[in-house]
Amino acid sequence: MNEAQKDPMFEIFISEAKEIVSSLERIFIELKEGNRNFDVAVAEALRFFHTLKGSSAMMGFDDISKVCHRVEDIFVCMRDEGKLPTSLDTFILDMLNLIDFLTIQINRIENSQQPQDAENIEEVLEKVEMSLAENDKMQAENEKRYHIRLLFEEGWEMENLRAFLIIQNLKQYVKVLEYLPSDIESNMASSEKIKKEGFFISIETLLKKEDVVKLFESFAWVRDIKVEEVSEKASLTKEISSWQNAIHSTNKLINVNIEKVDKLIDLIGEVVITFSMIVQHQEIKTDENSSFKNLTLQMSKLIRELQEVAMSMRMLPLSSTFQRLKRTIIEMSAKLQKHVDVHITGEETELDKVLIEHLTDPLIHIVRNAVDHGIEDKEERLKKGKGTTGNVYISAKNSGSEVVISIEDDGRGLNKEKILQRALERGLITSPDDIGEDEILELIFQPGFSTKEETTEYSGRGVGLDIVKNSVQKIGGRIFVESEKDRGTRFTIRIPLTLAIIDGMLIDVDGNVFVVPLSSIVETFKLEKQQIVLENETPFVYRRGICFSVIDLNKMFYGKDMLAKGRPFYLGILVTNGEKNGVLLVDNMISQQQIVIKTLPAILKQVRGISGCTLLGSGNIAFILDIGALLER
Amino acid sequence: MKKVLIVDDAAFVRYSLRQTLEKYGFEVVGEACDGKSCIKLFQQLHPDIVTLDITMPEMNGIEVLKKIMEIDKNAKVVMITALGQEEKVKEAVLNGAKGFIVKPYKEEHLVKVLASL
Amino acid sequence: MQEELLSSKVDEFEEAMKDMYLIFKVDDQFYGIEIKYVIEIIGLLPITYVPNQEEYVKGIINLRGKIIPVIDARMRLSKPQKEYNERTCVIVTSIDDFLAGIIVDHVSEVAVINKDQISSLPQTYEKINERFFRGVASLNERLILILDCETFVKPDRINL
Repeated sequence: MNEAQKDPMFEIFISEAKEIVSSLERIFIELKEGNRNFDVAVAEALRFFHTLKGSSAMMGFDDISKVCHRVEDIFVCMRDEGKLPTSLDTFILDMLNLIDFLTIQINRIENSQQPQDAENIEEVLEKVEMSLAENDKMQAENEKRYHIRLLFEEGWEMENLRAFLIIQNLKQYVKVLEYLPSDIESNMASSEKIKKEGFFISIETLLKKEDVVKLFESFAWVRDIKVEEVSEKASLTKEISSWQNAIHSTNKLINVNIEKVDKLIDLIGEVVITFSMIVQHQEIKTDENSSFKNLTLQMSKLIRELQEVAMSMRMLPLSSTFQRLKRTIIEMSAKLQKHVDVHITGEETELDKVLIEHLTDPLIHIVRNAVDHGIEDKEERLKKGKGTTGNVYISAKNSGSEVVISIEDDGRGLNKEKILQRALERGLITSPDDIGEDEILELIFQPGFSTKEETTEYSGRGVGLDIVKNSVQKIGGRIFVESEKDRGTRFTIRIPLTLAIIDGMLIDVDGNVFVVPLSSIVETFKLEKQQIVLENETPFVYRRGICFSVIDLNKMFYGKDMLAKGRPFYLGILVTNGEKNGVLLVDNMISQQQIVIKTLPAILKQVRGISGCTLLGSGNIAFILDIGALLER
Repeated sequence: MKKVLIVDDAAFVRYSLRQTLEKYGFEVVGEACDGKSCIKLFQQLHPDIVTLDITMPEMNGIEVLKKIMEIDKNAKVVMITALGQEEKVKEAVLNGAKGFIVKPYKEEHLVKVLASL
Repeated sequence: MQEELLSSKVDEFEEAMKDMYLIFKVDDQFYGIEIKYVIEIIGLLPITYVPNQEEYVKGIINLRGKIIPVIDARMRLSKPQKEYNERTCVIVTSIDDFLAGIIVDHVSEVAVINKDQISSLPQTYEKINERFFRGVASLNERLILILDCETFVKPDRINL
């Protein structure tokens, strides 16, 4: 035994080295058997190699320390840069080889024998290093860079830390290059930025786009994931501004949850009703000139404005929908080789965003029908004496509390006989007498009505007008069709505005309450029985030398003759629809107030003269008169 | 059915968490009111998820979290916190918490987070 | 993943409700409608008559701010109308997002009736109302006519 061996340090070194080697062996065997996590194994092995390197260097055993140094470098590479060998099995074998080498070396040292030649093991290590580099290169070639924008749901709080959590998580799967806002860890205020603009991340990974998206799906508070593959050099900060510009360019928009807007609109409706109840309360004395009266007027104005703003939040102009219809027509007419001119009016008319979404497909279907079935080809048109170019008129306008959209063509019109025939064939009616003239056209809204001849590439099967009618009814609207042979067809869709508040006059007709829109009232006056003149059973009245027709609401809706009541006088309300005038015959005026318009359930038959209803403060239901329709007679 | 261990020093919080979780089909296998019993129950019951209050007397939430992660590095711990505890939340995230819920919490949020783990 | 959780709960719920029927009475006859259509049962509320409707459509009511139409079950079955009393109630149903109330004499119970308990209507039974019924079932010695809710509630002019 030589001096070195007698040295107690030597004993310690040998025993420690043996322990290290045996631990390393255990690590790699477990790794081979799949009982150890790779990253954990790497970290542990690294520690051991590092220790062995140090102690063997201190003892002067350079062969061992040099080898351990080289292995340590390899392992550091794997731990810090995530590099992996091309084949795990080969790697483990190589490592076990290495451990054998170390075992032999240590034994030889213990027995004062010559250390083994390291050349072989150096080759092995070089192989491992190469495989790491190769794998890395392969990966780099397949590695893709992605920019990601995440939008968080409202109300989760501490958004910056949630973003932080995402990054922590993400690091296990991909290489995170940068993220914005970058101060999520330290700055609570970055939450605001995330809420407004979203959380942006730039990563590099081998994963495919779908798999990248999946990485974020497990975070419950993420409501929108946008992933874009970008080039190697793309910088997140530069990308962000163009991403953000896309959002900001449309007039500084913010994202508001539609439920919040709905809630706001509901509340405003209730404010209107409650305010009316307050103003009409018996406990309040109202002198005409009192300051209280002024205050109530002011309040009414404010409520009105509130309502308009709330409604406008959900409203969008129909222009983009109409443009889309126009494009459909142009495409179709080109394909079908027909000439069609499109005339659009009222596209600035606004409608609730959600209603527009529900209407788009039905409108497209109607327009397709118009071009496909309605408009005739050039020859046929010439024969009929029409211009060779067909016309489709698309219009929208506000009428009372509704938006009225109409699509009209000057084509061949609907064939009533054919429709009747088809209905008989289908068993929808048993005899032509079952159905009135004006109801024939309504048959086209029955399911399964489209005839085989009518289904072409464009109209298709199964997307019948019944679906169109359903869609319209679903949003509380009504659809009508008018048609004349060789003159054309017109579809009219009436949609109630989600919330409309109008000033109305409550009137009493034999105990029933109706609302007359204030805007249609010209004047009210006492009407004596003698003033009412009957001509062919139709009542008229003269007022200031002009003859007005009298509308007996009681008779119209309830079949009771008002005049037969034998009262000495009634109340007459002169109303106008802008063009025509008439006098409503009522029992009494009740009050003037703001009312919230509600639609009648779609399941009911349309009642001419009634456009909707409202809930009074008492909980009773009052009908809103459609002055336009009443005067139309 | 996912097994959940509820840890909070306040009884009513444990109660309301249990109500919510059981309503949505989670199995509450145990409740702990402090760090020590939490660790014990965690080792005994092997729950799939632990909901852990961030502020508790004696052993605070972060310490408990660390201990749990030591026992099982794949443990799924969701921290229950409140506004103003951002530093603690950050520390929890750094120490392996898989999610956090801010009190007062929405049932929906709690369920969604636990369901996603 | 949470969608799976929630939608499977909805399916479970719907599964459980599948064979449950609300049994109500008009005159001496019992009728059943599937619970899945029933939103609630309320007492009679003031009805506002709506002109120009079918006879059995009695009008509309104000149900906590919502305006819904109500039909008289008796008249829908072409029986003569009777006066309403304090036992009269309204079954509020929801079909395709449309709400409608059915006025009935009396609601008796909720019962489970399996598919195999329902047999087809005998030929001679209430011919004029044939289209309303899916079949007939026997429950505790009573004959229950099983209604096709959609056909019963929706007016005939809609979707023939």
